[in-house]
Amino acid sequence: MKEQYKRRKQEIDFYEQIWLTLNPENKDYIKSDIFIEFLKIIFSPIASSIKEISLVLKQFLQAAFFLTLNPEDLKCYISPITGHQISEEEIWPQEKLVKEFLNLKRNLLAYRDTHNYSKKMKDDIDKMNVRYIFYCK
Amino acid sequence: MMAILLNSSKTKISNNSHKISLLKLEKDIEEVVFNIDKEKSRKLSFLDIGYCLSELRIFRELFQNEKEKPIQQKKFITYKKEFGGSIRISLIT
Repeated sequence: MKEQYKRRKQEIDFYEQIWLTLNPENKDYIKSDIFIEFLKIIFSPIASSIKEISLVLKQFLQAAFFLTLNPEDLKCYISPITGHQISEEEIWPQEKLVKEFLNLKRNLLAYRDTHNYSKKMKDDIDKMNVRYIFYCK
Repeated sequence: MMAILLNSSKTKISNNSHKISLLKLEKDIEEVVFNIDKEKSRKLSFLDIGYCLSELRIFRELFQNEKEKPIQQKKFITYKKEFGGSIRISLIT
């Protein structure tokens, strides 16, 4: 029950932050194209590190909002869940967003049905005690 | 898009199976979003985003319908029968 609660809280936090990241103009809707590209980057199986994914993500978001956002404008973030205003400092940096996403996904390996674990990956899995995620009993 | 961005980053897509895997992944994501945006408005609300993330199995607690859980369990058992003791890795598990 405690785990469920913890998981739910993680999901809610991530949910709010992903919305605020994708919706800096505080509109009711976001463009689906931007969301799709965002997911493609964040799910990327080929980027090798959190730093790399977040860098790509940053570049993408800058390009996506290049025409619509004036960087000099003061951004106004409103939580879609509570309706309260959120300060810019409370918005997660891209690195944290990617890290939390990976925590929620808990999919350390990139490709489906792969059998070629590296030694490092095996060690990491053993350390994290997540074998049950990857193996069918 | 992803391939273009990554070409300018450190990681390169070096092998065909990786490219195929990437294309499959992109198709899966597009499919999920298009299924949610049935009216093809190309706009997504806060709730739509939540449904997409739930479909992609990022949300396992939020947006989960209790009635759907036995179906997911059944899918998993079928999968186990098909693939025996093989490693189970999937973006949408």
